[in-house]
Amino acid sequence: MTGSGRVARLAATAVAGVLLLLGTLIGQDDDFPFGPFRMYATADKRGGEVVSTAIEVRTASSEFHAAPLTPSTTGLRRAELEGQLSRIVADPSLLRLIALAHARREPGAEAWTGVRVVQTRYQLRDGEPVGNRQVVLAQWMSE
Amino acid sequence: MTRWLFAAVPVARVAWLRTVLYLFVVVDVLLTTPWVAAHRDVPTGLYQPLLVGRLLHLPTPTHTGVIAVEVGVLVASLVAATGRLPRVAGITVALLYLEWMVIANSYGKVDHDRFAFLVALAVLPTAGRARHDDQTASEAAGWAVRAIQLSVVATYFFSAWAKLRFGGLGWVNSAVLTRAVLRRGTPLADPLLHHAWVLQLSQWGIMAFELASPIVLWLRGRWVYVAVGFFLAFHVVTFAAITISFLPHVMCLLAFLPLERIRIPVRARLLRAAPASA
Repeated sequence: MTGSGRVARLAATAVAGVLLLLGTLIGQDDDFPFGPFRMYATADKRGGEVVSTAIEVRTASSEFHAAPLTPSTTGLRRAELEGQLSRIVADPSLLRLIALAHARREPGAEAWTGVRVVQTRYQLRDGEPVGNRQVVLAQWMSE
Repeated sequence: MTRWLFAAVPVARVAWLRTVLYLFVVVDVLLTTPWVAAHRDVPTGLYQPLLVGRLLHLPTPTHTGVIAVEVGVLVASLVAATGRLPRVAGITVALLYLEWMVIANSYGKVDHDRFAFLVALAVLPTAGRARHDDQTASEAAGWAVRAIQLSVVATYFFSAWAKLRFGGLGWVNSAVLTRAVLRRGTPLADPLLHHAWVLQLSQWGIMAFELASPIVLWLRGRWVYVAVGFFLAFHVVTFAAITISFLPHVMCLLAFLPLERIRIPVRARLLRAAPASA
């Protein structure tokens, strides 16, 4: 290996290492791929709440009912909707885009004329679920 | 330190890593991470570009744009997997796959399961031409392999650090795994919700193993297999419990193994039959 090849590799290793260290210390998800590896890094309280998000939809022929929120039905994963939840709560008309995505993903299916975000909140006691309740966070209807 | 970073390995190991990892790109894009391609149908109003996308002014993914990147990354990977054009094809794969990850992670959720894989795609082109039967020890191959190993270990070690940063020391006694199982538990894991101490004990185990993971860099011989087997077992159990596979990262565990010892029997027979052409 040439001297310059060695120096370039040493520099690349050092830069990547420093970026990763900085990302872990002060970075956020936005700094991908050097952001902190924060999967399951939260310390959820053993007497707190765990939330799980879902959608309900309505069509021309049916009232609001549970619908799958998956890449094959909406192009989105549940965690992606959760990641944009504050935007959606501030502007529920964004849910129209999910109905639009559904129309593209499943063109043969009945169109969604309304979408709402429903959160199930599980109450924990000593780290074990003891009950749950549902909350509607945002709602959009076509007319 | 420098000597350790450039410890020579047989060129064949890089050749095998290329074949397996570039073919895995195809598996990843088409089979095991199909939701990235599904973003082609998501209206651009839900695109929330990452810093890297804003810095590089990457285009907002349209239906056509996503398909173009997908086809590009598949073609480049198939070429790279043959071992031809190791630099041009390899760099193309690395860049297009990074863009693929920007498309993946710009809709509200960032995944952390493939830092090592991105590093692997970035360093594999640097080792030049490599044949599967070339046992020549090479420092360039050694650095590429070491970089992948380091990034595998960094994924474990820095994720423990992130747990301490965001969750604090209390993370080990928190209800984080209860949350994980409530949200995406399998029939295998769900019964554990009512034996929360098992989940809590697992949290201590995860923190301990992630912090201790750098040890693998100094292991030799059969202990390397023990450590890699342990990492693999961790990912298998995680998948069984909450269906999160970390598959691209798992593929990078191969960098710890002496892949250069793989022999293709057919080729060996051919070589024996025609020694003059060898």
